[in-house]
Amino acid sequence: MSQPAASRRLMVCDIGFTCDIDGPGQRMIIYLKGCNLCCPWCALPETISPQPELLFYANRVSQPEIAIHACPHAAIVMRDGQLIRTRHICDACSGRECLQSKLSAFEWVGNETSVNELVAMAERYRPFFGQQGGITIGGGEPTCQYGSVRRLLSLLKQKHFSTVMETNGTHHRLPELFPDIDLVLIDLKHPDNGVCKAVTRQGNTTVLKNIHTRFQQKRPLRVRIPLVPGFNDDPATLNAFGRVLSGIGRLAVEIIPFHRRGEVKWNALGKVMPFVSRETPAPEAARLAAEHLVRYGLAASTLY
Amino acid sequence: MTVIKELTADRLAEQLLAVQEGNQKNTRLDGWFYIQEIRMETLQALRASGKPLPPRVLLHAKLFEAVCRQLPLSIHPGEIFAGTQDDAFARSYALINPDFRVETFSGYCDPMAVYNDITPAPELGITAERIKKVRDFWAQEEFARTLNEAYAPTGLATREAVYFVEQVTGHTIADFQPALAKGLAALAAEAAQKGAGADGESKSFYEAMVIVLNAVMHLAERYADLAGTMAAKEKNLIRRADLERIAATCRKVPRNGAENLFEAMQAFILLWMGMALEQSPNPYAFSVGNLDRILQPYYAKSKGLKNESAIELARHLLALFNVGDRNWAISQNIMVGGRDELGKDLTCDMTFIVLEAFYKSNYPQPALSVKLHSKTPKALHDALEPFFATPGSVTPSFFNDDVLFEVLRRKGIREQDIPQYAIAGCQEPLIMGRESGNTTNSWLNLAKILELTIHGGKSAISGKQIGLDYKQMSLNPEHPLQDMAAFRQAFWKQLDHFLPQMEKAANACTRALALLPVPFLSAFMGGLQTGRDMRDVTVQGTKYNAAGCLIHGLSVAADSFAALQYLHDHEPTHLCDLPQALLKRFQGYDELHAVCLAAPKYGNDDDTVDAFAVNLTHEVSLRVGRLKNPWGNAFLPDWSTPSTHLLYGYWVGATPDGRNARNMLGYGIDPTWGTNRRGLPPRIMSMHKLDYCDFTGGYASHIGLRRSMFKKNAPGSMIQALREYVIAPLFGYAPGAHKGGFYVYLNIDSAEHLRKILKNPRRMVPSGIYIMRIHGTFVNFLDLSPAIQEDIIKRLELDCTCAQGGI
Repeated sequence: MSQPAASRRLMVCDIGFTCDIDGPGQRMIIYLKGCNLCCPWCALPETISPQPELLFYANRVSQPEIAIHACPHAAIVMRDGQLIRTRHICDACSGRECLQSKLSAFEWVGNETSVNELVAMAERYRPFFGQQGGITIGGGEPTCQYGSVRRLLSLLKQKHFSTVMETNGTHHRLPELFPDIDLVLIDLKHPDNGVCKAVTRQGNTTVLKNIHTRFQQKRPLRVRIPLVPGFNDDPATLNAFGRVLSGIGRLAVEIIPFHRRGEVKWNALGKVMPFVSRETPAPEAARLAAEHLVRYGLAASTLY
Repeated sequence: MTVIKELTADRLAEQLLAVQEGNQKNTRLDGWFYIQEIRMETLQALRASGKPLPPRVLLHAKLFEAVCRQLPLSIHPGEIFAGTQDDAFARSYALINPDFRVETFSGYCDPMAVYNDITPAPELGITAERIKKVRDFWAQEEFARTLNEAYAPTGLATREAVYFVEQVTGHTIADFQPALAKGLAALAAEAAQKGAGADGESKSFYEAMVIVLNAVMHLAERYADLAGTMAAKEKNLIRRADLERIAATCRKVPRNGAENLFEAMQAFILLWMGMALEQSPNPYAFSVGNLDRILQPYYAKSKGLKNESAIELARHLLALFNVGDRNWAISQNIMVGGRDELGKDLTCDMTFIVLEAFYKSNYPQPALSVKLHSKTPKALHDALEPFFATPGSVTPSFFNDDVLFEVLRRKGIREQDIPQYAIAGCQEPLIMGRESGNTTNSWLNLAKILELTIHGGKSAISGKQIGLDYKQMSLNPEHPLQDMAAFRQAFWKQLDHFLPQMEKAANACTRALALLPVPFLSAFMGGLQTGRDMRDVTVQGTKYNAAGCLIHGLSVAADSFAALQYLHDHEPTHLCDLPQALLKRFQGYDELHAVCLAAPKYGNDDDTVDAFAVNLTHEVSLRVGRLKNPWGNAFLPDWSTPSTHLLYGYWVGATPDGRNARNMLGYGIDPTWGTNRRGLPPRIMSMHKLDYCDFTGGYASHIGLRRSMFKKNAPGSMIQALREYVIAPLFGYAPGAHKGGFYVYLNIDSAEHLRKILKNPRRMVPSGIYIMRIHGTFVNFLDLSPAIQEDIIKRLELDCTCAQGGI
C-alpha cells in the first residue's frame, strides 16, 4: 500500500555530522523541526516551531543600514542604538527579500525534504560511519512528524543503517518505533510529573512509561538528563531521579550539563531565552551528579 | 664484526641525553663556512698551479675530496656513532624558521644570502675580513652569476608571486642500500672498471665517482683515528669502550659491507654526511625512504641485540637529523610501512623499532611518514596510537599505497620500482635512488592569475601591468565579467601566457645548478649505471627525471569562479561593480561582499562549486604536464603549498569569493579557511570529486581534529576511531567508499588549547617543545613566527576543517 504524501516528507532544520555524541561512532544527524515541549534552557530553539522561520542575527551585522535596507517591509529597525527585528512582520512575509541580500545575519531554517532524499544522503555518507556509526534522528522532537519518521526509520533499517533517535519520550506511540531504532536516547527533564508539566508543557508519565517499555525489551537505551542549575541539580531532585529511574531498572544515564550556547539563537528568533540563570554547571558538578545516580545502581556518566 | 651485545638500552638512553644536551649548546653553525673556504682555497690552488683545470665534474670531486680531508672533525660526549650533518647547514636554512615573515620572505634564490647568517667570531678566528673574502670569491663564480641571470627576466611576475622558480638542490632520496651491503670500496672498484671502458664525459664522471667514494672512506678513517686518539686519553672505561667501538667500526664501514645493525647505522651516517657535505650550505629536504626496510636485514643479523637496545640505537640515528640547537623544519623525511606491487604488506621488526624511537625521542626532526594500504596489519595501527593520543607529540603523515601506486603508474614508473617510492621532503613521491624530481622547481599562483584576468593584467596590489591586458584576452574592458564563458577563456589565456615564462625561468635555474655537479650523490642515484651526474642537463643521469610545479590557490580560484557564476545567474547588476569592489577591498561594497561570501564554497559537497575545482585541477594539471624540463621530461603538477599559501596570498588582492586582499589562500587541495561549514565528511566528499591521479607531483591536505572527537565511545581506541572515521573513507578503505586520496597529515588539538599555550607557554609546556605539523614537517609550535602559529590555530577552529564535535 502506498504511503500518503505527508508521510514521505519531513521538515528538516539542519543536517550535520558528529562523532560519539549523538550515538556511537561518526553519525549523520538529522535535526527535525517541531517540538511539543518548550524547555526554557533549549539549546536549539529554532527547532521548536514546526514551521520554517527566519533567524536574524543582529550580532553579525557590521553595517546596520545595509541590514535595514535588506528588508523592504521595515522589519529591521534601529532603536536606541540597537538593531531590532519585528518578528510578526517576518511571520507574515512571503517575499523574503532579505534572503536575497545574502547577509549572514539572515538565516532561513526549515526545509521540507523527502524521506527518500534523506535515505539517499545517508547512503552517500555510509563509508564514514564505520562499524558503529550511522544515522541519528533528533530535533526538535522527531515524533512530532511521526508518520514520516516511522517511514524514514523503516527504510534506514531495511538498508542496514545503525539508527539512533533522540527523543523527549512524550509520544504515546513511541514504542511502535522501537523495532527500527538501535539506540534510543530519551530525555528525562525532571523526576516530578508536576514540575515537568509546569516547566516544559508536558508531564513525564508517558516518558517514564516509554523508558520502562524500552528497558523491558532489553534493547539499547540511554536516559539523558539535562543538568539545569536551580531546576534539577539539587540533591533532593537527584535523589528523586535516582529513585524513579532505578525503580525501572539498572538504566544507562547520561548527564548533559546545561550551557548557554543557544542563547544567541533565542535572540535571533526575536525571543529572550526564558531560562535566565547565568550559571553553567562546572564539569565537576556533572560528574558529581553522575556519581550521585551511580549510588542508585544506575550506570550514570557525563556526556561532555 | 662490531661487538654489540654490551649496548644496553639504559646506557644508550643515558648517552643520548648527553648528545641532546650538546646539541642544545651548539648555537653556532660554522662548518658550512669552513667548507666554502676549503673549496675556495682548493680551487684557487688548482688555478694557480698553471695546469689546465679538469672537467667540471672532476673539479667538483676534487673540491669534495679536499673537504673530506680538511674539515675539522669532532666526536661529542655521548655520541656512539661518528658523523654529523651539522657542518653542512647554514644557520638560517629551514622551510620554516622563527624569523619567517610573510611580508619579507623572498625565497631561497640568492646564493649569497647565506653569508648574512654568519656572524664574526674572532675567538674562533672567524673575522669579518675572512667572511668577506670567501663571500666575494663565490659571488664572482659562474654559478652565482648564472643563477642571477636566470632570475633577472622574471621581474614583476616573481616579485608579485604570479609564479616562482628555484634551483632544486634537495628533495632527493639517495639509495644507500648497495653501499651498506657491499661497501664503498666495491662500488669504487665498479666505478673504476666502468670508467676504464668509458670515454668523454662518462669517463670523467666515473673518475670523479672514484675520487668522491674514496674521499668518504678517508673521512671514515679520519673519524677512526680521532676516536682512537680520544679513547687512548679517555679515563672512563665505559666511554673508552664507546670510542674504541667507533674507531673499529669506522675502519670497517662504509668501506666494507655492514654486518649488523650498529655497523649499518654507522655506515649510513657517514654516507649521509658525505651527501650533506657535498650539498652544503643547504642540504634540506634530503630524505631517507623506508628506513625500516633499509635496516631490517642488519637487524636480522644482529644476534644478541635486544629490542629495547635497537630502539635506543635508532634514537641515536634520529639525533643525526637534529641540526644544532634548532628545532626548525628542514624537510628530511623518514618512512615506514607499506606494501609491495602484489599487495603484500612489508611491515617488519624495524618498522616498530623506528616508530618507537620516534615516539620516545619526540624530536622536531626528522619528519615521519607512514605508508598505509587496505591490508595494513592491526599491529601497525596499534603502534600509531600513542602518537595521536599524546598532545604535543610528533605524528606521522599518511600515504596510501593503494592509490599512490596508480598515480606512479600514470607517471610512468615501472611496476618493480613503484614500491620503492619515498617522500622527497614533505609529500612528493619519488622513487628512491632512481628519480630526480626537481620537485620545487616552479611555483604557480592561480589566485594571482585570476586577479590579473579580472583586472586586465594589472596587479590589484601594486597597480602595475604584469599580465595580458583586456584586449589581449579578448575581454570587454568596460565589463570584463559580463560573459562568463569569455571570462573563463581569458583565465586560461592568462595562465597560458605565464606558463612558458615559468618553464623558461625554471629551466634556467636547473641549468645553473648543473654547474655544481654532485658525483657523490649521483653514485646513489643511478650514476653508476648511467655514467652521468644527476644534474647534468645534457644527458639524463637518473632513471626517472622531471620538474615539479607547486600549484597554489585551488579553493580561492574555484570559489571565485562559483561566486562569479552565482552573481551572473542571480545578481548580474553586481557583476559590473565587482572589479572596482575588489580593488577597493570591498570597502563601500558591503552588500556585494555579503553576496560573494554567501556564494557556494568548495568543501561542502556542493556540486555547483566542486565542479569548478574538478575542472581547475584537471585542466591546470594537463597544462603544467605539457611543460618540459631541460631533459625534455614533463613538469609534474603538485597541488601542495608548504606554508606558501600565506606568502602567495599576501600578493593577491581581494577575490570574488569574498576573500580580502593579502589574506591567505587555501592550503593544498583543502577548502579555504572557514568555508567548510558542514564538517569533515562533506569536505572529504568534495575532495573525492577531484581525480587524485592528476596529481602526479603530489598534493597536500590537512585535517584538524579536536581531541574531544575521540573522548567517548570510540570503538576500542583512538587510532581505530581515526582509521574508521577519517582514514578509511579518505583513503577508500571503507566498504563502498570512493577510491580515495593518497596523502594527509593531521593535527589533533584545539584552537583554544593552542591559544592557551601561547598565553602561558612556560606553564603549559615546561619542556619548551610542543610539536605540531605544518605541511610535511614537524615544527615546535613555540618556535614559529606569529603568522604561522595563527595559520595552525585557524585550521583547528571548529568552523574550519575540523570534524564537528556537535552543535
